[in-house]
Amino acid sequence: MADLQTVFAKTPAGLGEVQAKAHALSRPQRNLLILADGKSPLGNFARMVGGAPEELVGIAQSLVALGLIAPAGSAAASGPASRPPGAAGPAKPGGEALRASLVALAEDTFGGKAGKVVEKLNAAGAHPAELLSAVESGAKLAKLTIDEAKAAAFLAGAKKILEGAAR
Amino acid sequence: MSFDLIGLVGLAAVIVMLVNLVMAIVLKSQLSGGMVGKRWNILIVLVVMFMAGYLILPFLNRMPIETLRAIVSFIFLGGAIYVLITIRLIYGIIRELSS
Repeated sequence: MADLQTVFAKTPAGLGEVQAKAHALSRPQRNLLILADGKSPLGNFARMVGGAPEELVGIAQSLVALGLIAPAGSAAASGPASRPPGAAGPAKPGGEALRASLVALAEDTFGGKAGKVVEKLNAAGAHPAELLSAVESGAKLAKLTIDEAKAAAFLAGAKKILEGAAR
Repeated sequence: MSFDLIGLVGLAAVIVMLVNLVMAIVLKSQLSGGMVGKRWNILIVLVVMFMAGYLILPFLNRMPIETLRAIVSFIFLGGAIYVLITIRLIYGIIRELSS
């Protein structure tokens, strides 16, 4: 039974869904899917997902039912915690997975106006430092031409994703 | 000759302002909001007002002097506001890009 201390990771289907958007997920569902990193407990995401902490468990369970996330360490999860015991060092999400998460965040935040920000993310290298630079550049562009509040939210969410990947 | 020169300058002003208006509207499609987008609408309104002001040039010699002074004063005020908004916009962009 999941609770706020449960750590979730994306399943292979979840990783695909971040890019493909094949499911009609609600914003909190999509936010949680993006943030599920296989390391942070569910309760850490309350503010970023945009729902009450007690609603998070329900949102997480709906994603589990769709096969998009799974408790870290389970056979279905593809995140770091699902690595075989004895694997050397903690696994980190690859640059392309990070980029996909950031692109999904940009599209969720800016909707149809995300084009220029997504272009910057896609043009950047796969190294987290390069992605961070693209995120900051994209956030500045968004602050000037799209929406100041959304730009700040995107920057905060993207930094959280990048920090999560660096741990 | 003097009248023709003034008319020509006035016509040039209207044409340039028309080009400004087209460019401002085209650029607007890329500025849905944000620091620049919010102020862009004001600049478009001011460009339209300038154009309207310039278009009365052929009728200036038929207007009472007080009306003329009022129109010129409003055009000056619009120009001053336009410059103020533009400077603040450039200041904001420089601050943002250098942060």
